[in-house]
Amino acid sequence: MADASPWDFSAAGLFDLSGRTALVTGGSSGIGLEMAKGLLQNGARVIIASRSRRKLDEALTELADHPEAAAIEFDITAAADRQRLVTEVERRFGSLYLLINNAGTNWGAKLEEYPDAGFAKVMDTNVNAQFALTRDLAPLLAAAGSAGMPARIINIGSMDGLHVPIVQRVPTFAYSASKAALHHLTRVLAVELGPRHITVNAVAPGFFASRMTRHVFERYLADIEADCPLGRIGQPEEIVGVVTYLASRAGSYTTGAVIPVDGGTSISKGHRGWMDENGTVT
Amino acid sequence: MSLFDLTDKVALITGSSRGIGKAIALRYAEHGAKVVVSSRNQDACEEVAAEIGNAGGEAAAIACNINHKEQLQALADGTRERFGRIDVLVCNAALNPHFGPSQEIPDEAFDKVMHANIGSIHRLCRMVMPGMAENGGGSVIIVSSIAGLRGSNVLGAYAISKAADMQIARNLAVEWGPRNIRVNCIAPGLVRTDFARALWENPDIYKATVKRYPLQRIGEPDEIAGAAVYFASAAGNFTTGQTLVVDGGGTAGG
Repeated sequence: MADASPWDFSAAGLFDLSGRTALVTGGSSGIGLEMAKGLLQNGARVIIASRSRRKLDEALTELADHPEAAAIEFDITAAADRQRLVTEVERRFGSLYLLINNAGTNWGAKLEEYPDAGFAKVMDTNVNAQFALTRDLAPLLAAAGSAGMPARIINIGSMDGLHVPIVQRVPTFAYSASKAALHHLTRVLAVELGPRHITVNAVAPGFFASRMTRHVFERYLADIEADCPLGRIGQPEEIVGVVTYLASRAGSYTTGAVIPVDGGTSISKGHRGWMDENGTVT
Repeated sequence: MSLFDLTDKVALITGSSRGIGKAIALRYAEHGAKVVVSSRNQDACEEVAAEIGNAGGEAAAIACNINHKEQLQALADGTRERFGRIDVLVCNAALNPHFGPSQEIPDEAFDKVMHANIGSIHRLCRMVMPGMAENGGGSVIIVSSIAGLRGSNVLGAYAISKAADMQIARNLAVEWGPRNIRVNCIAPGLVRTDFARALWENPDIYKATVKRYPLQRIGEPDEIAGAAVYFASAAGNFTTGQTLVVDGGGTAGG
């Protein structure tokens, strides 16, 4: 095994994605759309998928500089929709180099009031459907990967799947549990799919501006910043950056990793207390 | 790509005349950084600096034995003298003088591992980080190892020191986050370097090792350099206190 490295890194840059095919679920808005933009700017061919035709159309307008970007309407929890998506990806690309499982949902309620249906919906969307879509796309991913340049799956988890938030704002029992499940599913699938030349990693974002966090920021931004060693929320390019690393040659030996991008929040102080309805921490 | 651009950043990398450190130095230079190459051997450092210079990059060679505090100070001072500042510090140099059970390691060897692998990082960070903060921030990267995540019957003291790397990263991330300095670890698995030659040159040991890795192969130094560029650049600006395992899935697979 003393022969020279069969992988030639000199041909292209460590972070180049020219001509690589990518699918981003939940890609019509927020961080999903930002990731799609970053991939397109870096040379990839991208399909964005989400439930809302209107949002997909708005996203395509925003991506007008990239006429090769495509949009597919689908509900990740519907088996027929997933199958249609797989067929469409195969028709357009033939194989798939990069799958970003970004679609997700949330439900917030107090413990006593937390409905079974809410918990089931979150687990179904954030765990069950992610697994099903990944399973169904695995053959197309395997077709795009090689030993030196494996295909990639990137699951978007959450800091909330790593620690219990310092301040329990709106309790999100199912969301936290679903993201912890997704992190471990990442490791299990990394072991399963490594021999098929597919890497599987997760990114665990902390607080970023989005439709989901807007309401929280209105009231608690100062606390969130105080609990973060870097003292701020994250910027979209800081998710695009880690995704580009994992998707490119630079990340080709990294698999089964869960990478927090949270300004250090999850490693710093742990659980500090509960915030009551007046905003006082006890 | 601009997210990974290091133009005009000054990077100091210990243990960078060979292996992972050298790959990091070359890739940093390729991405635009001014690089200080350092190891115990000045000639070996000069060679890598010349390689970078010939490729159109900018590099200086400053030899340093990390066991000696005054040499660490000379390295930090020499870097600032040459390039005016330090934006990125990569603590990569480490040693492993003992291969065998903890019961058999001589006290001197144990202390030497802790002094070199933990002490030098602590000391060099103290010398570099205040200046980094004054310049508006920076990035510190410690090259740890998956040896610090698992029990071992042959790497005892080394593995302890590598686990300490991860805690140094968490402590310093919390201490220096408010001054916009990020501190992270990379924990490589088996990589094709001289340091790990015994583990990949023998076909039987090699096969037994990578059989347990989902990607079923050894890593290349450039695949560690990729993570080091990520942590040093704007792409990694919100990531701190973390350990990124780059091991072909070996630890995920148990």
